[in-house]
Amino acid sequence: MESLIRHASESTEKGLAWIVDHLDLFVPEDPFNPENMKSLAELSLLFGCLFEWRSGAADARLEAIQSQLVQFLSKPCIPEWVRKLPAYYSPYLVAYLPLRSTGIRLPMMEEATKALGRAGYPYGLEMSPYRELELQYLTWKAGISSKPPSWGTVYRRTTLARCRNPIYFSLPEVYSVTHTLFYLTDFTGPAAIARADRELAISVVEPLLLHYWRKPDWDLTSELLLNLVALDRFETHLFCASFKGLQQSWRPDGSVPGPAFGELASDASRRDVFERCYHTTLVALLLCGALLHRTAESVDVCQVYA
Amino acid sequence: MSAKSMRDRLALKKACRWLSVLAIPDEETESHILRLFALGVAGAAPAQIRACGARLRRFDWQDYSGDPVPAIVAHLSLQRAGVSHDSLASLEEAYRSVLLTSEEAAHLLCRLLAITFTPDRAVQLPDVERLVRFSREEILGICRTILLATAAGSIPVDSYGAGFLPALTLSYARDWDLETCCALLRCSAYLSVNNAKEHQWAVDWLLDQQMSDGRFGLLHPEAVHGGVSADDWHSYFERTVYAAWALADARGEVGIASFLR
Repeated sequence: MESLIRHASESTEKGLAWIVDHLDLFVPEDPFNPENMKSLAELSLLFGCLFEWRSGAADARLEAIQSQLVQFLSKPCIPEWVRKLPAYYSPYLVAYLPLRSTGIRLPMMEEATKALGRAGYPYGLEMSPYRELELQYLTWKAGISSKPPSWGTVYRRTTLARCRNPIYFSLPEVYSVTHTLFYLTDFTGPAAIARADRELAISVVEPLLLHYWRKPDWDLTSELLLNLVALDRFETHLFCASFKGLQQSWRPDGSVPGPAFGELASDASRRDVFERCYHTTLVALLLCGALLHRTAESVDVCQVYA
Repeated sequence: MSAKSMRDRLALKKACRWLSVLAIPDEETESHILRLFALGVAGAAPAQIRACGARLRRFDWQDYSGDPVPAIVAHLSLQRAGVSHDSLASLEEAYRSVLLTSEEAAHLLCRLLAITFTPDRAVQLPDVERLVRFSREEILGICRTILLATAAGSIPVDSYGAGFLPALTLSYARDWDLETCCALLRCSAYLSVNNAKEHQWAVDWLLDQQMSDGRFGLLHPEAVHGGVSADDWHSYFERTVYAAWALADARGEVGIASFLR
C-alpha cells in the first residue's frame, strides 16, 4: 500500500501539472455548443473533489483551475444562454455546481440557477437513471438540494441494480455502472451500503476492471478502480496490480492515454493529443486523489447514505 | 436435480444430437475423432456413440497429427459403448509406448491410459499482471498445461492466482471468444474456483450461444458483414465440441474425469 500511495502522489503531481499546462484547451471554442462543454464540466468536477479532499488547502494548481473556471462561467453570455435553453442545464450548470460546492458564488450563474429552478429544472428533464443520480448528487453537493442521492427508487432503475449478467454490458452500460457508483458513494466513500448492494457492485466491478485492464482501456480502468476505492475494496491483489499497470501507462508529460490515443498520428497536434487524453487524465487524477484521501486519515462512514 | 443442472444436461443432450447427425465426410478423420470425443465427454447414449464410431474409417495412426487427448478419449468412449476401433487402438498403443519412456509424461494422458506417475502438487500460474497481457494463444497454452497437469482436475494442486481465472473467463466472453472462454471455464473447474459468480455468468453466456438445433455459435451477423455463408456446419463444429466439453467438465459427473483410470 505504501508503494501505491507514493505512486498516487507522484502521479497527482505530474497529472495536475499537465492539466494546468492545458487549461486553455478546456475552454470550449464554441461556448454555445453544449457538446463542447464536457471537458470544462469534468474539470470542474475534479476541482470540486480535490478541493474537498484537501480540505481547501492552498495549492497554486488548484487556484489556476479555479481561476479558469470562474473566468469562463462569469461571462454573461453563458448564464443567459442556459436561461434561454433550460434543456442545457447539463452540462452548463453541471460545470458550475462543483465550483459552487467549494463556496464560490457567481451572481449571474446564481440567478440562472434560480430561474431554471422556478421553471422546474433540473427535475423537469427526462434522463437516464444514472444521469438523474448525477444531478441529484451535484445539486446536493452544491447546496441547492438538501437530499443526497440514495440507493432507492432511482438506483433500482440503473443498469447496475438490474444487472443479470455483465458479460452483455455495452460500453455505455459500463459507464452507467461506474457513474452510478460515483454518485452513490460520493466518489471516494466509504458509504453505508446494504451488504447485498455492495456485494453486487463488487462482483460486477472487479471482473470488468480485469477486462478493461486487459484491453487496456485506462479510462474505464481508472473509473472502476475509483469505484473500488469507494467500495472499500482497495487492499486486494487485483486492485494493486491494476493500479500499478495504470501508473506505468502514465505518459512522461503527465497525461494518461485514452482509449483512442493509439489512433493518433506521430505528428498529432496539441489539441488532438488533449482530446484523447484529458478525460482519462482527469479520472486517473480523481482516482489518485480519492486513494490519497482514503489512506491519509480515517474517514467516517458517510451517514447520509445510511 | 437443480434447475441449472437440468438446463446444462439438456444443452449437452441437444449438442450431442446435433453432432451425431452431422454428415462428416469420411476423409475428415480428425473431425470424426473430435465428434466421438465430444459425445463421450458429454455422456451421450452408447447407441449414438457406436453409430458415430461406425462412420470413422480405418486410418494409419502415423498420419494422425491431432491432439492425443480427444483421440484417447474417443477410443475409450467407443470401448465404453462396447466397441473398439483398430486404428484408434493402434494410436493409443503408440501414445502408451511414448509415455512409458518419457520423463515428462503428461498426467492426464497417464491417467487416461492407466500409467503410473508421480503427480506434481503445484501448478505454476502466471501472475495476474502477465495473465492480462497474454495473447489468447498464450492463455490457451496455459489452459492446456492446467488440463494436463491436473489430469482434468482429478489431481488437487496448489495454484496461486487461480482466483483470477473466472474474471478472465468473463473477459473473454465479453470478447465473444467462445473457444478461450470454454478453455477457461474448464480450468476454473479443474482448479476448484468455479463457485465464483463470474464463472456462472460465463456458463449462462455460453448456454445463450446455443441454437435450438443444438449447435453453438451466433455466427450470422459476422457472416453477413464478411459476405460469407454461415450455413456450413464446419463453422459450428469445433465451437460445439468446445462448448460440450466445457459444460461436461464443469458438471463433473460426466466429462473427461469420468474416463480416468
